[in-house]
Amino acid sequence: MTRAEWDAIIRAHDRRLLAHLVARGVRIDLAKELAQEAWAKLIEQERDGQLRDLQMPGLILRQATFLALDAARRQRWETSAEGAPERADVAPGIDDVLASRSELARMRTAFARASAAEQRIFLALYEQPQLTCAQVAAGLGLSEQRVKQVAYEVRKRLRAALVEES
Amino acid sequence: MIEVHSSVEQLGGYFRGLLDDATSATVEEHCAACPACAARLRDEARVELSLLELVEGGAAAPSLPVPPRRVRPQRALAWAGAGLVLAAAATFVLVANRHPPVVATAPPAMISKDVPSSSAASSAGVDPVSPTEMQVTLAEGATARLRLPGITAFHVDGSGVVTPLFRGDDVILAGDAAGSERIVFQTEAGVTTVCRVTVTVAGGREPAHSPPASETCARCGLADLESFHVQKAGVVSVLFSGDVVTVEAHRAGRSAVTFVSHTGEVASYVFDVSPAAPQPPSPQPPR
Repeated sequence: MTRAEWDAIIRAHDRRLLAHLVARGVRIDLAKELAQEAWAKLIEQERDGQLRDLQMPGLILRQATFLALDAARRQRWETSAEGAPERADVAPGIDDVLASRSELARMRTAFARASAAEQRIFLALYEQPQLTCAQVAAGLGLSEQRVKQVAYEVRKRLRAALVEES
Repeated sequence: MIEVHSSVEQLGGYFRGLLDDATSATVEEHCAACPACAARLRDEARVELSLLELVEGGAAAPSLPVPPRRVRPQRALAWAGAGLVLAAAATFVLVANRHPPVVATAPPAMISKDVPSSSAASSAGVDPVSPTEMQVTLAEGATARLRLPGITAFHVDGSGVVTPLFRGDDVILAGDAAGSERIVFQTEAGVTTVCRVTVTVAGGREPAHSPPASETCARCGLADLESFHVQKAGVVSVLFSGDVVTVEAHRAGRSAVTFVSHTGEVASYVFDVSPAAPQPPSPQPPR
């Protein structure tokens, strides 16, 4: 796999990887380090012929979760003599992370209430994570500011739908 | 020094790249030092994952009928990549609702040596039909948990929705709707097995259960292993409870395995692998 192909994969999944780690309690600066290390390991494994196929984003999420768990354990062992250490909750219930069906249903309902234009912009942004906001805006023929404005607004409504009753 | 917390918009826009580079850097720097904003960023990360799931699951079709959710991911623990080949410890443990785990059954293609007897399976209402099929009978309203230790990754393809799961995840089978789910298992060794689980609802019959299987390591005697690691050829691979190390007879060499239990006990073993000399051809039986 070429460097350019790897760059494209990383662009498409790196932000999700960061969200995955941070949602599990990994501090953002450490999450960035872990993400970088996870990608480096994956590239190395692929170069050594250890990977039969690249199933993304599952593969990189598992690699990073493993590294995060390893780091949390190492920290716990190293600081065990100094009392209870802070540890990242890298292995929480997946219920904490994945929206339940009812939550998703509420979000779908909220999304359906958005205008067609808002839906189109929001989907264009989230269905193409490898693109920057400016690139998505250019593709839609809109200003970057307009795309951001819609993204913030729709996200705010979906977030409200997600947290209601929970 | 004036402390300026990150705004909701900044935290919300961080993961999708709605912020410019300078603001992103400011958010990262602040959240690394401010526990309150770090917690808010964590919440936004969860929201972001939900948004991705919404979009990937078909946000544009909100009017479609939502099929009953009978299988859902319950818990994500860890994936342990290892230099050694990890065998699929295809011990399926079926945990009835609020009961100790009971042993279910597994596709024979993935059975390892330490698979417990499947006798308890039938008592739990689980019946092997074929190597790739399983039947689960549940009381109405009851739930059961399909535990798959040793599987590095699998996904459930139910009701047209594919849910990727990882090592340590459980599959919840609910006795509120009969039907079948297709589960695709992937092991570290690259083995892929497809199994169809069919749930039958039997009114009023509670799933039976048996005592939980012991989790004491047969080699080191440590109970409730938390993790262990294997050192081989200078490479240390960290593994977790439920992983299995397979020693390949065709590769000679020395490996060291260190076990650590939840109570902090540590035990180490060094073992040498020597391929056996080629066996002479067995004599022909007398006619």
